[in-house]
Amino acid sequence: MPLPDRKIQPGIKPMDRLSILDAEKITLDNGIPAYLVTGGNQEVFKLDLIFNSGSADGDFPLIAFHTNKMLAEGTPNMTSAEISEKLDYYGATIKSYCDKDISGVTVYSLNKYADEMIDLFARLINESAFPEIELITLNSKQKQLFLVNQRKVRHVARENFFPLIFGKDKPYGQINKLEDFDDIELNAIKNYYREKYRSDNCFAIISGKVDDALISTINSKVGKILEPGFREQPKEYLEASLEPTDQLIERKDVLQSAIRIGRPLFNKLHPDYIPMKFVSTLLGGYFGSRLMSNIREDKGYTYGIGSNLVSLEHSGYFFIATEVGADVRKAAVEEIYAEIERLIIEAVSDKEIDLVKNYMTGSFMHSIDGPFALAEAYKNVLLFGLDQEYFDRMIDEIHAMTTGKVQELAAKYLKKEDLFELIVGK
Amino acid sequence: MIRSETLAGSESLTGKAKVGYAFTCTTFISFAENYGMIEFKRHILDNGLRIIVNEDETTPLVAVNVMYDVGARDEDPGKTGFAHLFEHLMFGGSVNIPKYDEPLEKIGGHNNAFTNNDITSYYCTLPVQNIETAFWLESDRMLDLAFSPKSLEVQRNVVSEEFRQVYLNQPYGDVWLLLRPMVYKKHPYQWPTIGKSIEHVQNATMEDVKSFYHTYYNPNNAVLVVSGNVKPDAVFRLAEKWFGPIQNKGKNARSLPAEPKQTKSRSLTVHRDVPLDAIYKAYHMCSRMDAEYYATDLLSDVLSNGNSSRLFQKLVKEKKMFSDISAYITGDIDKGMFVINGNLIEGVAMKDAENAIQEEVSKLKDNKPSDSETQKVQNKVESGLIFAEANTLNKAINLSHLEIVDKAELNNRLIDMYAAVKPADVQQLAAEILDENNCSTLYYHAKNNS
Repeated sequence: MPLPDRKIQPGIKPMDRLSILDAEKITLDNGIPAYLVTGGNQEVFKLDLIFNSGSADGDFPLIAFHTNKMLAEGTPNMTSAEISEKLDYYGATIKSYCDKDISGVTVYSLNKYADEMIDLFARLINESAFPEIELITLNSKQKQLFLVNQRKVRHVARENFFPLIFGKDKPYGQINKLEDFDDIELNAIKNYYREKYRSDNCFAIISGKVDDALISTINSKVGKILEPGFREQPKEYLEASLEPTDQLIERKDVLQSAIRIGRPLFNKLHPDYIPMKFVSTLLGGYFGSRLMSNIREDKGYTYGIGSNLVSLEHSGYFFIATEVGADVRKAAVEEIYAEIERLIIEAVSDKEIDLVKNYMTGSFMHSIDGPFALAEAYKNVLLFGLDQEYFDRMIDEIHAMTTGKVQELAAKYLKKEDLFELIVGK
Repeated sequence: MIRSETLAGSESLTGKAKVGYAFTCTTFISFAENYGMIEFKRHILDNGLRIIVNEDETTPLVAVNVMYDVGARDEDPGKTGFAHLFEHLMFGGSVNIPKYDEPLEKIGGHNNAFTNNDITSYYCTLPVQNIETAFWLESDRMLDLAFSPKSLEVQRNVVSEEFRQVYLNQPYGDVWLLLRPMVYKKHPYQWPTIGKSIEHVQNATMEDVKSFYHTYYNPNNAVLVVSGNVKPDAVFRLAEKWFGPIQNKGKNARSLPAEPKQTKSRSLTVHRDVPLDAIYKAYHMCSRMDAEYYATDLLSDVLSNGNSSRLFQKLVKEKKMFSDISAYITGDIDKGMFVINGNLIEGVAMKDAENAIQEEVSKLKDNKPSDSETQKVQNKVESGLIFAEANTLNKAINLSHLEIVDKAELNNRLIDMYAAVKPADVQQLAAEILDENNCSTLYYHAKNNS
């Protein structure tokens, strides 16, 4: 066999255009929309029930978190211990999660135990008893976690960036405070549950081995729970007048300081969302990005640095985050701004543009690989009232990006005077 | 449950927490009849490189993993942290390719690497039609590296920042730096993958780097596993083309000092600037290929796998002495650690917390777990496996690991190994392992609470 030529990359074959089937939509007997994502060879499924209310919808964020976490802590007929015992015995997992805009509960199970596990899942959501004793346990655990996290510069920076860019009293700006753990009452949790966990405030995604038997089981259990009657409480989400500011949260004895730089922006519904996602990827969204190449691979200031664009229901934000040696913090911040400035004043080469296009296309393939991943991708578009068409548009818009467009968007959205800067450390 | 202390290599994206790929749990082990079997084919090149291919038609992506049989245990005690530093340098350019990442990103691929005490692994996932790029990249860095002085200098700094970020600038971050030297007196598991100190990393010379590479980065010291929509024969042809010409440099015989049996309990008390007290109890246990490994794993599951487990129900829920507690095994190839660690609720005395743990351990020594409790932890293992099977990267990494430990075929025999565990085995191992004379305890006090 002749020796291969190691100097040149083997011929690149173009990536196939992925055709993604739209998730089939059905409606359960109680009116809850359910989307079906079928695939995979294993006899397993995932059922995700997503409520359109999250931590930004309570008086303070902990109420939504605790409500969500306590769903699996007891029903009138089962204690928390009995629930855990049953789940573990069947090898099933229930996960609950709560974000700024949404709360959800997910069960992962083998299909052969679908009857038992879906029955349990439906009971937990419908009959949750919120026992006082479990609140005490949960609260002390979460309070300890909060205290530990306060010693992590990365965590403190992530949390405190929200009040900085959205305003500390606004729904997206509120964060957990130590006193919240003492102030929280069971009644607030029960009220949040009664107001938000309604059949007309949620949708389901069923993924994995989805067959008629599974759908029928889900409809006979989850299709019977909860009542309609959700009432949206309008809130003022944005403080339009917020001026970009810099903040230092001092931590004297740290070896590393956390840096977060960014600004409020827009969500997936904005026409510039995908193009800006492209700009953010080029700047700090992959290993070979501008920020990683400079601040890690050239200067060695950090173990990692990245940037991203996050989509919220009523807004969105762009951020850059890193932890750097405390002695090089100033130099690192200067380099970050220099990289942003370079995007604005210097044309990006076509080669780099093409690389980011391919990288993002590949990333998208990764993000929908397998039914569970695809279900997650669907969730993130369904939440914005979008559908499968969004995926096609995303690929088209990524491939339509040009040097000029990158420069134009960077100049429009990443002006230094529009950016907020937060340092935790010294 | 297995929890392996693993350091992620080179990728950090989009401001997310960096996550190292770890062999995190028993989840890839099963004893169900129809599951837990991964079909694969093996081919060995003349230079000794072992190639394993698992065909999986359900995905447009392919996972390629190259695992080298070298880890922190192979380091010189005066130059620790080297295996991991070296993993970073593997991204600093190879003899014919100036940048590893760029050609892969150009075809939509993702990659990362990790190092633990036993092995070093490099993996990528990419759209299958361009799989040859992965072979080109991986074979070139197995052939020879660029050894650029700049790359060495920068990666020494990057790893020093990683040391600070993960071990020094985090509450409880230095636990393994304290615990390992207490548990191991002779065996090189006495230092963590990051190394004993930042100085070891900072003092690494180009000469050290080259000698390490030439000793361990050889085809006969590595395993290549591919999982995805590929035909085994086509993969073997690619392997012959790209890896075949790499010279076999001889296998480095490993001779590590055995850890003498511990005969007296050991302890260390520290006071740190953390909010709350914590306790860590580490016991010596068997090695990966010992027969009692599976029962030891299930022993840790009875104590702490899932919210219904004993330690969680008794000590977190009922007695409210801990905010969190877990028991797990490190899953190392040589004799490993069985660890119980708990975070104390404010106001609970360290001694009372320790007694409460010992009380739960005693119950298990006095009475074997019931059949149904044993069945429960076995069921949980089964279910975990079936879920993990859906992921090609999981499969590629697990098969690589087993091939280095023993043979990849072991994957399809684990079924019987776990099923054979009896409640009495779990009880007997509790008595053997969870003995104070076999234990090193770290009392980690919050400064103000002492």
